[in-house]
Amino acid sequence: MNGTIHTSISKDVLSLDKAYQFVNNDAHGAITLFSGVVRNHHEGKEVQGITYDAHDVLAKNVLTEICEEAQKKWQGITIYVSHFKGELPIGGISIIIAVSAAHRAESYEANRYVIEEVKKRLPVWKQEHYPEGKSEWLPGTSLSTDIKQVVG
Amino acid sequence: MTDQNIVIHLKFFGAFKSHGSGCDLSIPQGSNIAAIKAIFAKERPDIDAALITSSALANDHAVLASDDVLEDAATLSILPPVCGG
Repeated sequence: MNGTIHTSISKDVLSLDKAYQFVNNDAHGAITLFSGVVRNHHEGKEVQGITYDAHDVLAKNVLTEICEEAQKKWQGITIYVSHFKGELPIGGISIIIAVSAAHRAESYEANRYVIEEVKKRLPVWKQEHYPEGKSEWLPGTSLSTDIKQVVG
Repeated sequence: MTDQNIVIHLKFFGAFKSHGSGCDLSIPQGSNIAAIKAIFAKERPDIDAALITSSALANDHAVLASDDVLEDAATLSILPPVCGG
């Protein structure tokens, strides 16, 4: 962690304002903000909310690794990433990624890089909640070193 | 591997939480990660074997490779396929 990277796994409501303030910088002319939001449907099913589980320590380490990789690819950028842990209703924010850079191209590209790596590597799991009290843990990408495919 | 057993504690995440917060597992000292997963699957037939196969074992610092070997008692986490974001 350094002054140009913030990573966290949070049980509190995520704040777009905090993310923006962290990356805002007089030398940077571009800020991209990405937020993942709980939607009300998935694969044709009505969804009423999602519970996020996370391995807090490992997840924070992985987020920091991803951000450091992004800073090597796009030098001089500032990155804020926070992932929610707990239960969210429809419309709740599950992740915020903010990236500031001197110019828009690296800001967009680095932000996209971070979310794509999060999807593949971050030890976080989603349990969708459906009408009538049913719930289901979603499939994902295996971290096993001898299995590297999307399961399910 | 030796004839001596060690006990590891497995912490559960995601889909494994339907089975509690974790469990202890007795394994031969010197077992590698692949062998530990196989022992876990055999000891816990109530848990979906495909879920165990597709899961990784990790400590707080890193995901462990299939051929990593455990010589001492430890707490590990079993991580189902991930789907954050």
